[in-house]
Amino acid sequence: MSNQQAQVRDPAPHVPATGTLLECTNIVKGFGGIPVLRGISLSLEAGTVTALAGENGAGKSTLMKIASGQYRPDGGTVEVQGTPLPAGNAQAAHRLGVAIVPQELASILELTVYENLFIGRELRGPLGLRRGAMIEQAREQLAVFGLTTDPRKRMGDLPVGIRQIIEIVKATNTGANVILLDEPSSAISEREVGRLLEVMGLLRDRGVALLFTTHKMEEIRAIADRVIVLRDGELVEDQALSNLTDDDIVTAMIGRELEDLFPERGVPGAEVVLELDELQVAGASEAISLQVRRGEIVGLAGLVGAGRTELMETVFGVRRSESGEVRVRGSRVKPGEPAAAITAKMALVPEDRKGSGAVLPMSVLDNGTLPGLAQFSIAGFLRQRARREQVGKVMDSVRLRSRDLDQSLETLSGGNQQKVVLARWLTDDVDVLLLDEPTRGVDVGARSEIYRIIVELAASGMAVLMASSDMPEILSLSHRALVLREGAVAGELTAADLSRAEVQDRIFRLASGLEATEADTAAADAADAPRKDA
Amino acid sequence: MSNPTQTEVMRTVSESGDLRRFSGPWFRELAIRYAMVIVMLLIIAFFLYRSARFGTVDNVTTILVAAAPFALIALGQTLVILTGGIDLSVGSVIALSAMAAAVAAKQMPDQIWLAVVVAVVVGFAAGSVNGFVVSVMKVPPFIATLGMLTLASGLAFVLGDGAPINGLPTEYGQFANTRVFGLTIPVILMIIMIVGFGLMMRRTSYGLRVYAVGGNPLAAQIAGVKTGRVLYSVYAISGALAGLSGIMLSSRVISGSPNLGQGYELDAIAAVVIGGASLMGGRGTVWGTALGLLLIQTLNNGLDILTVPAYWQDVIKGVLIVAAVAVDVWASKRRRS
Amino acid sequence: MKFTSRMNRGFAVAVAGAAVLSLAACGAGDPAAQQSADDSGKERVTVGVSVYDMSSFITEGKEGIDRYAEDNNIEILWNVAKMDVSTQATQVDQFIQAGVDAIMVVPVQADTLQPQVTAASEAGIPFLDVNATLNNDEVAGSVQPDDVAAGAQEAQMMVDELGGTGNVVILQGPLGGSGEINRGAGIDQVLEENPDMKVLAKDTANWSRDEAVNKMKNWISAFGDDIDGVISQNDDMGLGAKQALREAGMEDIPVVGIDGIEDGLNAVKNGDFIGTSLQNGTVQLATGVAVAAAIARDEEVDNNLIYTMPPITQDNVEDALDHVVNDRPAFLDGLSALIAENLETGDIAYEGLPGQE
Repeated sequence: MSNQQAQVRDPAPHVPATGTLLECTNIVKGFGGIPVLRGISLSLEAGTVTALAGENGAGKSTLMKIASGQYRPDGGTVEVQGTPLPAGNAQAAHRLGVAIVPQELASILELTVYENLFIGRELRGPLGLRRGAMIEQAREQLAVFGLTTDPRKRMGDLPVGIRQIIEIVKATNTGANVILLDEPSSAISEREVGRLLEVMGLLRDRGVALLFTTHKMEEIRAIADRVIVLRDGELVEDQALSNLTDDDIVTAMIGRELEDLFPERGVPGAEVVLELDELQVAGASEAISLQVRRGEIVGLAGLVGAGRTELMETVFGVRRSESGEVRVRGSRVKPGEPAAAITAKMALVPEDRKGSGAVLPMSVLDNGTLPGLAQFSIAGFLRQRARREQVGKVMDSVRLRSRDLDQSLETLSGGNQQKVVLARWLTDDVDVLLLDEPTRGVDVGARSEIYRIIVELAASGMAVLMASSDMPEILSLSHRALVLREGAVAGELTAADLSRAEVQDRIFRLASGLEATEADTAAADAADAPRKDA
Repeated sequence: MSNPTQTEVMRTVSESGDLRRFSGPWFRELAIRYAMVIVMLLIIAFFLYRSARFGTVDNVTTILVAAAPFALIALGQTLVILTGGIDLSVGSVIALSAMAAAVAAKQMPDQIWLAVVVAVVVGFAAGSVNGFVVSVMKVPPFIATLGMLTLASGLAFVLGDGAPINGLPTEYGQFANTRVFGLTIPVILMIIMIVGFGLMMRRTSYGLRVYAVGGNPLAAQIAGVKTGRVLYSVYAISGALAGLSGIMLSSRVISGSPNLGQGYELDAIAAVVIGGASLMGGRGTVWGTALGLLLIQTLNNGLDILTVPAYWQDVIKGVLIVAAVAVDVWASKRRRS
Repeated sequence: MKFTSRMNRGFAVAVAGAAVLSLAACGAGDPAAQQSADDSGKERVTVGVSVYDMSSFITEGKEGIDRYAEDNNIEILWNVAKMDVSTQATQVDQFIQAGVDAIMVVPVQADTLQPQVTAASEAGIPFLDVNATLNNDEVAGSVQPDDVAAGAQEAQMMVDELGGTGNVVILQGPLGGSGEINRGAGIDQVLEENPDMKVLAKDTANWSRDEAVNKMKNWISAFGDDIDGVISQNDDMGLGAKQALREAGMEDIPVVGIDGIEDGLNAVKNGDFIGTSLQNGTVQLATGVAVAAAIARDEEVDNNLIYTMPPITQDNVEDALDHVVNDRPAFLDGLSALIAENLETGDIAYEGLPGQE
């Protein structure tokens, strides 16, 4: 007890460790027959920051969960300072000084900051909890990391970025000298990212071994000493950062030329199919106007929280707009009613497949029937043969891999689920296809097929609006791209812009608001870059 | 496994979801899926072995007659549970509609059929309130129907001035006691309703919408389903069926009691859950509910025949409910892995 | 399947809340009315009454109480505990806080309310248990039916009907309740004296008509024609059993009940029951209030009274029906006089039925 209290007063690990703190050897792991990690070996040194890069589904989170004892590996070992970690024992990992700050923070939102910091090792006196002492210590600990937050505040009232740092503080309090950060910057603002990087630097100076995952090259450049790249569950790169160029890292992540993954885009038509006229999304900083033509794929880029999903859902009527209107083929669509959007031949493939796209307990057939119920029923009764035929046909056309149409969606892989969610719109005429993160959580193999489907759908005459955080997707699939920030259009990139070398950097700057005004000038300067469509 | 190509990965996926017929895993899958049927058959076999009286036609009729009022509310409950909700109010709504029907029968003994109309209308109205509160006011179903449970029970007592309504005309008994083709009306009603609801859930777009709303409300909305209407409708249906159940129960004993149906909601929920439905919504079938219901009623009957004391019967049934759900949780875990 | 857990606490709370309001209202309303004497010449007293639930028995009893109170310058604070012991405890607590002159409880459960009885006694408020006993030395008075005698009485009716030989099934009240235990004891006594009487099955149907009908149907499946008679510990379950017998085409099997509720008396009249024992709620509960008021007014009264239920058969059922249903206004008109007379003689169950002395 007294030992623990001593640790609490000094946020640094009580024994500054040196050398190799964490060593993973030949880690193998699969889920439901799909290999996720295929023999990964890596080691983390004291006082270093290692970036773990890789695409969605490359196995980064799984590796972190194994290293922190949350998952049991199918093969391989994890050693912490030479002590083997009992497989799948999170408590043991914690005792040995390995802490993970997961993407979905594990804070208890209803408790205060100091209660979160001390939960499980509360300071107790003869009269029960010593709240005053805990608050005081919490204040000191937060100050070490540059936080002036009142420890008596409710955790849930704080921004995600602050909560994250508090989680890190908590990890160091318990004596962790290996800290794993899973996508620490994915849900926080730019300012908070800056503070996070400072905190990470501080921890490095204290001899902690840090491993973090990120999608952002800037963060890797800013803080990492070393880069490890995973691809399809294999370790494809493990180098000191100074030995790698950005292109090296991207190539390692994608593992092939972009052309292999992305099919040839079609030529967009002239007819404007979807038109947003000064559409004001609730909570957005300004109204949005844009047009999408027949056969055109328009990409929507931006950071998490830039308002892409909100925009999509407002266009489709899941959310109510504050003003402005949505027109399809020139006629106004009744706002706030998905049924009206469907009547106007719009379709939405939402970002969160499990949350809002697919009805997992239902079969492929029923999921496929759902949007076209009117088409598949007479007087309320389902036309069994017709729907089976039609749904079967479209599922074949997207090369769905399922046992049969009666298999329930929850037993399919993410990629196949996404195919169902996409393909079910094909049983009926659709003019406007809204795609929100179409390949999130989809394995690389299925991804290229989904790209092919999207391009074919556009080529068949649909107007496609596609939001994506996946840079190659935006660059290689869309005819044009808009960058959103705080719900408003921060800039537009033409096809010519999209093929330029520095385009990724420009999108990032637009999205993060680093160069809002310069971006505007740059856009104006670029001769062939028209301003917003409207 | 060292470096499979993409297509190999794909095939692994499809094969893991496929079970060859008559293989060991196939039988296991079958046993998991039909665990309840197997349990049911075992129980029936046990009773048949222990008592010669159990398998008689008369006794089967006895089971069906006892099951009928429960079947009606269990069907309504199935719909509600499929949407991820719960209707705790059906027991009280039974009491309220039975009392309302009894009042109607006392007031207008010449128009005795009005009692049925009154019961169903009262049940429907109570259910509609539930539906409105859940779908429009967004009050969690547990709370909304808990409120209705209390409210309807209170109204039932108000209607009878706190007491049962007795001394009803004997014609009041005809709804539950008239026989058609040797079966009483509630039994016939039960059979029609089970088949009707079974087909509705399987074959109509309404049924599909109910499943979709329960399985994933947001996805259903995006697919164009008016989720609010679907939610409202399941509670209204549940209420109307409770009304029907109320008139059948009170007609059988020609008495309107404000305590009628108390606790029946839990029996109905138990039947639905034993039938394999998930309280999270989106999973479950009318056939499963019917089976769960028959299982409970068969146990009631068989244990009575073996003269097992009532409180031991409750112990046995409690164990069975938990076991049924445990099997279901285990089975669905297997399905997903 | 039966789940006994009931979610009616909300209702009970609402009732309790209403009780508090009404207490507050009468406290603030007309304080003079509470102490003044009216034309009955008696001092105004307030009696808090908490009953287990609104059964037929209680409903009839409430009419008696209300009438007796009206005739005798008594204010009644009426509460229903809806079968919940703790609700009943709360209601009694509220009576004590409101400072009523006497408390009468028809207990949800025998042998409960220990602290409430003590609190009432400390507050100097006389406390009566009626219809079910609290087995508490501190109660100021008690009006109890002789359930053992009633059980013995109905069993004897069945023995006589079957000529001392036959197989019976027994429908019990909720197991462990005092009614079930005592009536059961009486039944057992008589059946033991008649070794040729055999019990095929006995189980609870929780006093309920619709539970009894299913239970009986299942027993008919189990024993069929072996069943010669049904002894039901109350009329409601007996009526359920009769319905089951009717459905099975076994109308001629004799059934006997206890309580003499309206439908039970009618069943005796039309031959569905061979008999019942009249527990006239009107008389029993009004007597309880009479004793409570008498103690509150420091009048001389026997405070430990036993209500012996008169047997009801074809011979006297018409009169019983008159008292309970058909000629009720007249019976209520004479209620105060009847109770006054009964308190003199000590036979509180007397109501002038043929066969009663």
